[in-house]
Parts: sequence; structure tokens; C-alpha cells
Amino acid sequence: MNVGQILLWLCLLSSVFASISGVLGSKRADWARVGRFSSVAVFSLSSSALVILALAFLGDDFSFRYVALHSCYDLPWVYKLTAVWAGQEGSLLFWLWVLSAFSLTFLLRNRDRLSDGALPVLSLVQTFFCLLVLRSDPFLKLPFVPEDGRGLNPLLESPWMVLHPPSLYLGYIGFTVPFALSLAGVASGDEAWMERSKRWFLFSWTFLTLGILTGMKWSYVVLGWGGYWAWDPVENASLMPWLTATAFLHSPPRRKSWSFFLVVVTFELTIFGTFLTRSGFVSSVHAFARSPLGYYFLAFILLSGGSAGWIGLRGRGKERSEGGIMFLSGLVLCALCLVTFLGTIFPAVSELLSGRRMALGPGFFNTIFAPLGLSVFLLFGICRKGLKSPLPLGISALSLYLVLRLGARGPYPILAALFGGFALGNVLLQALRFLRSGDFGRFGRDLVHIGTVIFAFGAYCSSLGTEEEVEGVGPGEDFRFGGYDFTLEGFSPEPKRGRMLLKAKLRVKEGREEFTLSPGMEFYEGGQTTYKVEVRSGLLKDLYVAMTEVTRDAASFYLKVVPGASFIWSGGCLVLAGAFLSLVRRKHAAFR
Amino acid sequence: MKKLKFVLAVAAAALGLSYLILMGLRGAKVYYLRVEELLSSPELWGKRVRVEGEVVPGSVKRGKNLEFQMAGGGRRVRVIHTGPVPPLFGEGKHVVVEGTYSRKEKAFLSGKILTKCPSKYEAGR
Repeated sequence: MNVGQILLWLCLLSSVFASISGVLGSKRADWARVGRFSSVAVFSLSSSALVILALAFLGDDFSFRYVALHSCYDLPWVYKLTAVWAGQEGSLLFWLWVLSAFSLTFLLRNRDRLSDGALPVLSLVQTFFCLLVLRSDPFLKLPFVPEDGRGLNPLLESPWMVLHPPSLYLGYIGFTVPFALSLAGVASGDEAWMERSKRWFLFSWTFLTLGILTGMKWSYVVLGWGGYWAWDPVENASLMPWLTATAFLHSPPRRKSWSFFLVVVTFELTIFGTFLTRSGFVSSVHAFARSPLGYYFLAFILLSGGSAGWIGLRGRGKERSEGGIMFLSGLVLCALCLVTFLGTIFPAVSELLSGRRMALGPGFFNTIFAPLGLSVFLLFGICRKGLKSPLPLGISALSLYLVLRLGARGPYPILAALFGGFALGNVLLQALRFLRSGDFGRFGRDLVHIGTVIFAFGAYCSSLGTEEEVEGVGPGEDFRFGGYDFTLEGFSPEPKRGRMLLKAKLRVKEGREEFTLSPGMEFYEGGQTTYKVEVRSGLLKDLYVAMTEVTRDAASFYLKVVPGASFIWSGGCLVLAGAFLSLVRRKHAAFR
Repeated sequence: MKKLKFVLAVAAAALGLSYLILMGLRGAKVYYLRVEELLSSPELWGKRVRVEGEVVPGSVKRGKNLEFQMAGGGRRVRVIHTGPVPPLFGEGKHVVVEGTYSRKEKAFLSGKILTKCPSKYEAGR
């Protein structure tokens, strides 16, 4: 056993100890204090383990199997650090560490009965993750020391690798604390859990949103990942808890049972997502390793969900009906989550039922999300007395007029314009009101809603895009696509260490505007090829060009026009800005 | 009275949602087969399906279209692919192709290749 493994075993021991003393702590306060101490131990031990792994990466210690498989001498140091979460073993350790950090923050800042009650739940979840990390064993030594590591997959050598996985993890893991709070609260009848869970949810929701958006942006520029959103199981796994978390953020304060249900479901969905991506239960473009670990997650879901259900049924706290529209919006979001869930597990379920595996195209999700999404916008429009003011109705009429002028026909564009305009009008109205009163926190909330409308508009527009493959273009030859004229001027090879980058120079003309795009292909010594996609972003549409093949005298290109892409990203940025604004306003209250 | 209204509302919502789900399923479900299943189910030839298999090493020909042999369950099928080729495509790789099997050409005409990409990449083991 090496130092890392010893640390992990100690970590497991202290979290088991914390769980036991947490359970005893519900009878005697002394034990709760002991449990808090053990959480400090869990955090320090998991931190040391993580540091050891990170140092092994930085110091190129290829005697560790995990390091040898995910790094090599030539890797820039930033990617050596990000390689910590590039594989299953490391990402589970990272998960454990973040979880222990969150638990400790929570326990240090709160010393009341409710947090005493949350302590055993948090410790039990930690114990589960300790077991998982030990089982997957990031510190496994190889019987020999290889000369060099296998290196990180070139596709993961992307700046998004720094931001995307950690923010997703922060989002996912952050839902554990409110889960513990809600169990403690419902079991003891202390209704303060709800307000405090909401603050944690806001934090986790913000990072989950950041994680999803960065994932979209990353996927957008990688050829073969199906654009910014492809309804891939891994993407759905992040969307489902996002939907239920959004529903909880809108849950009216007096609907205790409903809120409890949402908190529990959100937590279980984060675990379910991890199960989906690791069990090989469904196949994904973003393939994860198949491993027996997947079924540990399933068992954990059954256990934790079952006990939460039991506590919920016996718990005190009354459901009172309140908040018509907010509640309705939560129901619609849950329906969307249910649909995503069914669509995601459909391939596996169809195999069980009919013996034939079936897959679902994106069409399934789009058919259902479109009408339900529209009803969300209708709710956006009528909430907070939106019908009483002329502005929303005015904007709605204006956008209908614009859409009809542009020649749109059919129910969807017309309804989308009506409801979308209505929603935008109403959120603008609310935003103006808070801006005038100087209430920036509430303004943040409206910013989130404005961003959502803009995002949805962009997503709708992007579905109207076109794509095409142009083959066998020689230097000096021209081709046309989507109103652009292209001339291939030539190729320029750039030899780099361990690989060769070949760029094409494309002269593009659109009307009077002229510019150059240089999509490229990168050939690695190991035989893998990656694509350097070029995107020319405009306000109304993006031009997306990838070189997909190149021979001595000709190249093939994959071209795509994505209308409204800028709205997707700017809407997303507004959502994030709004969410952070709300977080900052609640800074003093957060993490309780 | 209030209870009846509630039950009616729930029933209406459930009906609406199931209708939407059925509509979605009708348009979007695609059979997902392994190579040997494709070859042994002539009733699915000509229909849009996804097929999973391994690219046979040494069989990839890059001409006007990409052509390769895909193997699975001890059988092979010739694949003719038009469209972009994703980065992780290569000999010996596990891929999923989407398209139709053509009786006439005795080949699978693919319009889309999905490779296993590495969110949590485990180097091709």
C-alpha cells in the first residue's frame, strides 16, 4: 500500500466514524461535535490524497497507472493538472474532495440542531464516495515504470477542460447539502430547511448552468459531437437535475412536500447521471469507460431514495397549496425532466421489453420540448400580473408582426413569436421595475429570465440552419454554400512536436464582405486526427467550417450555417450574469 | 368538487403528455442493431437504422466516399459513408453508423458516423 491508498483508507475510516457519531449526535450534542471533528479529518485526508495525485501528474510519476494512462512528459502543465479529472479514478477522487469541502464549509458555518441532523446524511454520502474511490483506486501502481505516459487524449487538450468538468461537478455535488438539510428538516419538523436549501440550490444551479453552457460551447466546436446539443445521454444526464433544480428554485415556500420531493429527486438524478455515464447502460457519443462501478451507483440510488421516501412519508410538515403559476412552471419543468428521462433510458428499456435495441433521434425530444417550452413562456408572460400592462402584449404583437413579415407560416413560428414576445415583454417590465428601485439581487433574477428567452430564441433559430459536405476541392477552385462564395487558396503545413497541423486557407466572400478562414486538421503520431474548426460568428448567423479530409491535391469541407448562434451564447451569458448577481447579493446568507 | 377538478386536471395533463410522447416516439425511434442482427433481419433493410460494430483494420478506403468493412458477431458488412467523418474514426475503432442497408448494393449506406468520444476517455482499451 502506498501513501495515497493509506490516506484513502483513513478517509474512509473517518467518514464512517463521522456517520456513526452523527447518528448518535441526534441524541447527544457531544457526539455531534465529535462528528464535526471527523469531517475536518475527512476533508484534510481527501485534500492530501488529491494533492498527491496532482503532484504525481506534475512530477510525471508514471509508476501510477492512472498517471501513465492520462499524461506524458510533453503535456503542458495546465493539462497535467486537468488530467486529474480526465478519467474515472481521478474524477471520483475529485468528487470526494469537493463533497468533503462542501460538507466542511456547511458544518463550520452552522452549529444548530438542523445542521447536526444533516451531519450523518452528509457523512454517509461521503462514505459511499470513499468506497467508490477505493474501489477504482487512482493510486494503483504499475509493476514497472513506463518510460513515458500514454498522454492525454488530444480532444481533451482544450481550455474548456479547465472550466467545464469542475463547474459541472460543483453543480452536481452542491445538491448533496440541501439533500441532507431536507432530510434532517423533514425528519425533525424544522421548516427552516427549505429557505436554507434554496440558497445552496442557487449556488449549485449556477455552477451546473455554467457547466452545461461550457459543455455546449465545447461540443459546438468539436466535429462529430453533434453541435451544441445533441440529446446525447450524457448531455441529458446534466439536463435532468438542472430541470428539477430549476423547479425547486420556483417552488413556493409553503409547498413543503413538493419541495422535499424536488430536492430528493434532484440529488438522485445527479447520482443517476453518474450511473448512466459509467455503466454502459446506454451508449453515448461522449463514451465513458464501462465499469462495474455503475451498479454501485444504482444501489446507492435505491438506498438513499428509499430512505428519503420513508422519511418523507413519516415526516412532519404540511403541504399547503400556494403559488399557482410558480407551481405550474415547476410541474412543466418536471414533465420535461420525465420526458428526458424516458427518452434517455428508452434504448435500454426497449431491449428489455422487445429484445430489439432501439435508439431515439433528437426528433423525439424536439417534438415534446417545443410545445412544453412554449407553455413555459406563456407562464413567463402571465406571471406577476403580466396581462395587466400594455408592454408585454405590445411586444408580443410586434414580434408576431415581424415574424409574419419575414414570411413565417405554420403554428410554431406564430405561437413562438406570440408567447416569446409576451414573455420577453413581461420580464423586461419586471427588470425595469427592479432596476429603478435599485434592487440588484432581484434584477439578477430577471436577468436570468431575459437570458432564457434570448437563449430559447437562438436555439429555435439554430434549428433552421443548413449543412453540407463539399468534396474534392483543389487549390484555386471555388464553391458556393449558403450565400457564401469560397475559394481554396492553398494549404499550409505547420509541424509541431509529436504532430502535424495542416491548415487550409479559404477566402470567403459574402456580398461585399470578404474574410479568410483557416480550418485545419491535426495529425498525431499515434494515428489520431483532430479537427481545427473555424467559426465566423456574426450577430445573426455563424458560419462553421471544418476540413474533414485532405489528400495531396484536394480537400473536403463540412460547412454549416447556424442562425441565431450568437443569441444562444449571449442568452447563456445573461443567465449566468444574473445568477451570479443573485448569488453575490445573497453572499452573507449563502452556505448556511 | 375541488377533488374532481384536480383529478380531471391531472388526467388531462397525463393524457396530453402521453400523446406528445407517443407522437415523438413515432417519428424518432430508430432500431439500434449489431452487425449480425442487421444481416439477419431482412425486414429492416431499407429502413433507417443504427448499426454498431468495429471497423475492420486494413479495410478503410478513402475515395470519393469513405468505404470500410464493419464487423460484429463474427459477420461483416460493407459500409459506404457520405458525410463528415468524426475525429476518432479509425481502423479497429468501435463506431455506430446511421443509415439504411441497400439490398441492391449489398452495402450499408451511412450518412452519419458516431464514434465513441472521450468526455472521460479511457485510451482505447
